[in-house]
Amino acid sequence: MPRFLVHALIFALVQLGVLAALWRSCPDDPDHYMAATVDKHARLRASAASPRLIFVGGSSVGFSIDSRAFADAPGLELEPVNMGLNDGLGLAFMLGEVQGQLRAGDVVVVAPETHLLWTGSQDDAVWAVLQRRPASVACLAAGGPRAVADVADQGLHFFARKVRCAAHQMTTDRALPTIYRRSGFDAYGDFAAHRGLEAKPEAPLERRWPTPAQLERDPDFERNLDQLAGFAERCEAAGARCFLAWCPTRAQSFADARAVYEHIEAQLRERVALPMLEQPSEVALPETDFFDRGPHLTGAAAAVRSQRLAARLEAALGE
Amino acid sequence: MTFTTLTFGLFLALVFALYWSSARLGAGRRGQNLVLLVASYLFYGWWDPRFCGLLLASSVVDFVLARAIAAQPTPRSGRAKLLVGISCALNLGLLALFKYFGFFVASAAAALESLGLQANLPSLTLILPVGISFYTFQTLGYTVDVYRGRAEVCDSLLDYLAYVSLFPQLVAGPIERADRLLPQLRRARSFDPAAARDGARQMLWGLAKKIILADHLGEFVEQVYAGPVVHASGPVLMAATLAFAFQIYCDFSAYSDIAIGCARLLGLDLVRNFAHPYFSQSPAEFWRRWHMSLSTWFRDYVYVPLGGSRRGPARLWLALMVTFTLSGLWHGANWTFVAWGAVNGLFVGVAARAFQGSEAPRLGPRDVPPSPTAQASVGAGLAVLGRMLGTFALVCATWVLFRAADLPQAVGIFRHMALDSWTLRAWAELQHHGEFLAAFGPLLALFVVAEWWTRDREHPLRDPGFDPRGLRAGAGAVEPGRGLWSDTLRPLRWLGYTALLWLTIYLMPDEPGTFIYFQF
Repeated sequence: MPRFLVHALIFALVQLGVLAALWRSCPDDPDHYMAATVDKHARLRASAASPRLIFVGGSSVGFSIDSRAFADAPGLELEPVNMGLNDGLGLAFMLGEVQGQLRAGDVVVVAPETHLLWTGSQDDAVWAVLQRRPASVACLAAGGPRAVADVADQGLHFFARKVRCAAHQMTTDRALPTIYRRSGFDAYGDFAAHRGLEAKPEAPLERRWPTPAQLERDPDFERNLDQLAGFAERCEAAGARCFLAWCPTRAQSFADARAVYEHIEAQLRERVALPMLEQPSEVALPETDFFDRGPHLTGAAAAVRSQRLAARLEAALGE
Repeated sequence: MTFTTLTFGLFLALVFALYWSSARLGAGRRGQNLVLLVASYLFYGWWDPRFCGLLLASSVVDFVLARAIAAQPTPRSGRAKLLVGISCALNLGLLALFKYFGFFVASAAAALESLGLQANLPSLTLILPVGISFYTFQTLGYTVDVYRGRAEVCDSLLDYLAYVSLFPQLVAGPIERADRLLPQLRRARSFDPAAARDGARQMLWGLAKKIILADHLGEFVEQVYAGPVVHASGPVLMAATLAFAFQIYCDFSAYSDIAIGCARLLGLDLVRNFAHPYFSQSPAEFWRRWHMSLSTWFRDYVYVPLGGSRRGPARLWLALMVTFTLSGLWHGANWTFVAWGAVNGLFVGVAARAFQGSEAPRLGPRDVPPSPTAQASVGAGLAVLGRMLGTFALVCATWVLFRAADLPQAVGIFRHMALDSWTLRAWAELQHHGEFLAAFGPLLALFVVAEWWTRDREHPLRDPGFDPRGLRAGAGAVEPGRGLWSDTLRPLRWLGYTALLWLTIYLMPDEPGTFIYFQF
């Protein structure tokens, strides 16, 4: 056995050498979209003059919230911090980013992409964030050991992309023109680079929706509802107030999945008991309100939606 | 926890360390089997912990029944027959409940509706436990073998539970027979470096097949076969069907390779499941080389008891059709699988009649038939090639039934293939998939060449001269002698493994595909 183990170790070291060479040939881009996590956390941790209004969700929150509507609302006096970055991080990770930083007086609006209620983290988003901000590893704890294992599995895919990136770097030295970059976010953490741009003529990102019956026996749905309920309790314990909002969706998709939305809404009201600032039907919007294939509103649509949300929030806080 | 994940890699490393440490600490086979049992239930519970209860219950019931059968003073007595009947009823009942209840109810409702009757049949929504088709066959095979006196009854619950739940083969086979695997688990295993090396290589080959070929071919197949309406032209459908033939082969044989390799790292020898099936020269030979552990199971527990080839042509046809139709149904609760099984039975029977005298339609190998070797004359070589291509074409036609969402889609695909393949426009449609075909066509060709070149071995990365059969007897595998291959060429071989590993990582798709046979 020792001979076998020595051979295995040498083989592993050779592979580590290859890995190191590939890693070096694909240097980290400081303006990578996911690097915005560094700025968002810095803002979250910065001492603010007034209590904070923290938005939690994926890229739909980043794109579809215009924090200026909240910052300018005279009755709110809250400092917006938009943590929305990427839905691939998963709900547990997103909540984990915020729950250790809650302060008395904070207001939190959780608006996850709807599918995050029955899925976990996806792609290699968590790894991309951890590469830029290793301290975020603590956010994984909220998901439990299974979530950590899922993230470990996604590491292989992150790694595969890194290898492909290295190959691309070796063959071409051309940066792809894109607005999806760290510098596309504004000081609040909103994605602002698309404001004023024409919407892209792209086919919407289609997702397969479960049926209400499938959701009823989906352990991930159960787990995510429990996590939301647990987060609500932590907010209360920290003296913060928490609200729910919905992810914008295409009107047609909403019509197709109306029964699922009704089921989810009923479950959220029963199990999570967080006040909702809007109804799912209010964010079922025409195709022209979307910027690209994701649930990303154009700048104008985001402003309209944010003004409505700000008014609802003002009313809810005044109750 | 699937084989292509990092979690499984870490899990296997931990199990490997604990398993061989327990042997070193003198815990013997009990320690080793305990490690295997805990690891296997952890592996299985990773999908859903509730599945473990079902697995345990199914295992314990058959353990108790087999002991009761063995305790009968007269072999094959009426009471023993009753007990084995109970085992059959329970195992098949479990399968029927979890896998087929919804299918039969829906089919009955549809049949009644077509007669103008409104049926209000009971419905039951159950999650299909992963691997249930495999382990119920394994436990059922055990009780039947004990009844027939072909397997010794196992008196240790620990050994038996480890046998049923052994994690490399629990979820998608190979379906192991008690008389093959249980004796291995009933003695302490010692580390065999040659077997471990071969196991690691077989795992690497399996991973490469799954990720480089199966997952990518699957994306193309999904594009063409997605949706109930057939849009693609005949040539595109033919290309997609050809791609599916290799997707399912690379996917399932990769799973078997990883399972066998993984077991070999633990000093266990699992049964071979694939023997280059696409080099077969007849449908019957194909079934001796494809999913061999299932073919032999159906041969021994369905085909032979039905009379096999011993009771005249009528009985032979009955045995063939029942066996293949059931084998189709085993694959899934859908009429497409039933039709797939029946058509395969028909092909095997007709081909056997057409070539009467040359070969009886046997199901599954006692021994794997030798691969075709170089022929003496060009004419004979061409004849072999013709038979291989003909068999492959028939097999591909049956894969349409297997892959189609339903029978109307399958019929639509056949119609398009037959009628929409005669114009230049139809062939020009292949251009839409030109990028994919240009990238993966050569890789597929390379794969076929590698398989042909190494057809005398279980997998292409095996050392010539390595023989694992000694593992089963506890004597250790036969290691190839020192020489050019094992010593001098080691750096070159390592370079090859490294290249294969990094090509696999490079081509890993963003959306990892699960193994096709998990659904069965």
